[in-house]
Amino acid sequence: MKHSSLIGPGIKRAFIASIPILISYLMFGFAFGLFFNTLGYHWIYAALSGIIVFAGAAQFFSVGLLSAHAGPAQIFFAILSLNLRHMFYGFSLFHRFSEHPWLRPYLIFGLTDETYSVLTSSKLHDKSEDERFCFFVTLFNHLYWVCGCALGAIAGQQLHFNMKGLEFVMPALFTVLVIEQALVVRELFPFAIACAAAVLAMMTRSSQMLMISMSVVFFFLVAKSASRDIKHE
Amino acid sequence: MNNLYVIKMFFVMAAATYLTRLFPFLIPKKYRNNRHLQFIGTYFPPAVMLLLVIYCLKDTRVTAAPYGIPELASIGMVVLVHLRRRNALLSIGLGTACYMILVQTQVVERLLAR
Repeated sequence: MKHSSLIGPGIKRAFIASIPILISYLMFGFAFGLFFNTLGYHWIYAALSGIIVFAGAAQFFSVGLLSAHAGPAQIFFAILSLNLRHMFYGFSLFHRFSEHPWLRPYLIFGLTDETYSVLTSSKLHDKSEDERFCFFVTLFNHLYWVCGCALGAIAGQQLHFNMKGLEFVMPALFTVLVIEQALVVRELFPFAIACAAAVLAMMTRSSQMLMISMSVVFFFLVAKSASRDIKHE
Repeated sequence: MNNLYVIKMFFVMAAATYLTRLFPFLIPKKYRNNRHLQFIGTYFPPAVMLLLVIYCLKDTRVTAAPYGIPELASIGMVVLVHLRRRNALLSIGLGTACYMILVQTQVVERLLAR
């Protein structure tokens, strides 16, 4: 029998599968909330960031951009580049997000690193039930994340401890991502070109260092990819 | 403080994030194994991550005490812990704690001044 409602066995499976994310999102979200609090906004804005954006690294990164009052174009391209690592996530999930078309926008919206890893590591046999499972994993993760963000910001407002140096969560987070990426690609040239592009961009002394260096890397990769074709022919 | 600005920027960020997550669903099947797309998709993210590390640390002063030592030591801590345990939360937590202790106690400056 097909359920017409959303509630079914998928929800229980989803909750169990999402428990590891409960812990990590509460803690990561908490760290974001603390960090966001240094901007001086009400804690509700940290929660709103979690609700509207729902992207860990991007939210951390936005704290610096927001404090510098960056414009929409700069923020858009910074976050786009930062999240390009999601570029190929959806490929393996395409067929699973097809039973309930009206759920699909939310499932795509919530496709974080963590949601992706949970969804790709378990699958339910019944197609309709499986999509319910996907939906609730995404929803639970979203809830954990928002709770973490809010709690961190509230704690930051109440506790008043010395936060000097807390901004180091960002380079620390990106260093972890560099290591994870390096272990996957196992090649040196993306890192070499990044260093070269960074030096080049810093020599221009522009405030757009990030945009310039990312563009340099991007065009280098396009050229390199195109030149591979020429070599093959 | 500018509350409206922040809300607007949240939506800008959400749009950029949504685009990257939507991207694979937009590409027609026949282009999914396109070599150029695969190439960019494989090598752009690692380069961007390193650029972001550099960007975060670019304002570090290396010509005066503490000569960027707290940054270097804390990044070293993150790398070491992460290679050993592969636990992102632990690596970031310990690295940040290390940095906060170093800059708040100014222990490097004190050691250098002796």
